[in-house]
Amino acid sequence: MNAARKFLFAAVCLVQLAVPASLIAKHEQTRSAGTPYRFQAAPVDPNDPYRGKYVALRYAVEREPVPFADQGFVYMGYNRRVYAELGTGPDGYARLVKVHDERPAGVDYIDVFTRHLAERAQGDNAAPTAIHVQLPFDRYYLPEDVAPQVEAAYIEAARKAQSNTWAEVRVRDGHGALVGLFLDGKPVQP
Amino acid sequence: MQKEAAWLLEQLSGLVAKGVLDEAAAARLRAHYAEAAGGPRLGWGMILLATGGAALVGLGIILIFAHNWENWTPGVRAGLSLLPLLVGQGACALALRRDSRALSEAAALFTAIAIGASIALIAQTYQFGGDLPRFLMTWLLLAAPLVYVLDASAVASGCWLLVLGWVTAHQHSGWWAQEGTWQDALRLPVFLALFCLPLPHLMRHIRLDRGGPRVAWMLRSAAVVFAIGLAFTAGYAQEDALFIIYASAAAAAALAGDRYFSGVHGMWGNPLQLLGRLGAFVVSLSMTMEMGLRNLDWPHSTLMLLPMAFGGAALWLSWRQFQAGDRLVAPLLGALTPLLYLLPPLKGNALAIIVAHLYVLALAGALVRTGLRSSQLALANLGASLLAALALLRFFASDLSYVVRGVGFIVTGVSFFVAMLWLRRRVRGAAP
Repeated sequence: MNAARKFLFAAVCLVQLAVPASLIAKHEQTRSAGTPYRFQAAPVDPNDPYRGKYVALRYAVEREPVPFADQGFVYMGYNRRVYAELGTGPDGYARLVKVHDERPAGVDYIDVFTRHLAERAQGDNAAPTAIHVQLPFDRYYLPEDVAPQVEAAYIEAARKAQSNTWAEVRVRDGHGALVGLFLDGKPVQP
Repeated sequence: MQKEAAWLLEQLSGLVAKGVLDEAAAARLRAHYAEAAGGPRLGWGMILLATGGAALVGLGIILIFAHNWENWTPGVRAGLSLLPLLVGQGACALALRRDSRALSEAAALFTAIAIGASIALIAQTYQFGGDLPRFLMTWLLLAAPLVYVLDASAVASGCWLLVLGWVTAHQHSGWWAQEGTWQDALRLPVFLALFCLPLPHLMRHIRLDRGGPRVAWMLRSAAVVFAIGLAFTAGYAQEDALFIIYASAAAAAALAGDRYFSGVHGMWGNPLQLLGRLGAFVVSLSMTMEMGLRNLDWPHSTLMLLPMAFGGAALWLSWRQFQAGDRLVAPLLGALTPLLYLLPPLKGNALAIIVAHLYVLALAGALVRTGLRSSQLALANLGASLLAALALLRFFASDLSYVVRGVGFIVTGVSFFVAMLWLRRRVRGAAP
């Protein structure tokens, strides 16, 4: 093995290790230093298949359109990455206050993905000023033997009118790390 | 010696093109120096043992981890997630030090699997959201360098499978999902760019040892992934354009197989020729049907670059084959793409159907005649099969009674068998 090949091999190894290591570091930092938010759970479509060993999650904030931060916001279609400014409602659950197309400064925010524009009332011809978004943390991994029971309990708990079911997320520099799932106020241990 | 032999093998194509060597002498030189250039050829047993063993060990470790996963803390899980990757990299270092091809293939494949396992395990530990296309692309980009650092052809095939996984997954989930968005426009260029990642490795081995099994396997993987992946790059509005794209790709593949691999492999060992001829067979038959013509359309998006590139390549290859003495099959295959560009404006016109039938009859006749002249029974059979399939299709498409159709099938079938026996006798009689 010549020197150039040794160097190339070492560089490849470093990059291969750096990618998973950076994922670990980013999530560890967010888990330890991020601001905690509670995202209230919403019922999951019962037709969604339970795939593998995780519970599919949906959130109440995804059902409400989020206002544009400014009128210059241009809708570029589905699945575009935008930035949702975070706040906390009187019930203690997180709210998506505004949606920005660039990273906002001085506030907590998370990366979210665009869905459809807010529906307009009949006869309203004004341009939409809000948009539906999807949060990036959409699954909670669990051991294979307990996942089906937890999913059933999650669906049941999330259907209640006054749902006390939420996902705890730590947020830091736009990155959200899902750190816990609570069903009827009780933590689910992964 | 290895470098000199590799240099000599790389020169052979140029020497054949300049007329310094004929193809037979070049093939003999390739066979003689292939071992010196790239080490001994790995037999089927060694390839299966090395790559299959690496895959099984990698998957076994993942299963053991998965079984005990919930018993470990997140920190331990994160550390353990990197362990298979570190083990794989150690094995790669050992393979490079020993300069062992079998070990290189096995270690590289193990490491490639370990990369995917590590990222998946970390995603599970930290509850990442699900984005399968992004996961597959990350996996692919991290595994692809192993193809070149360890000269690992099994990983090259694995990379093509990951490309196929990416292009099929992104239609349904993640940030590439929706039709009619900017992701839609980028799908084809990104697919082609990812598909090209292992291509230089394949080209190098074609130059070194085009008769080797690793080249045949890589060509099979690449051809199948390209053919399937292409269907997923076209949006729903572009599906009609796939007909011209597949036709031009089939013609180019068949001609490239004829020009660069003919005589080096048998029919099954020459995937470009086999898949190309089969593709041309199906496409030319389809265009004789009204339904096939109705769905024919020109590509209007970035997809339009593909039939232009493949059609251009097919024309150039057919010209080179024409110069080399193939005066029948090669020009007809080269003409397939231009013909399909002419047909859409004639849709609904009887002239289109007549032109398509004339083309199929000419191609079938050319295949039979060339097969007889060159003592290639498979080629003659393909031509006869094309004629028989055309006759059967016309029976299906007609309003004749079931009795008449049944008699027609029997007559066609018997004629086909008689023709086979006659062709076989002629080819055996013509063989030296």
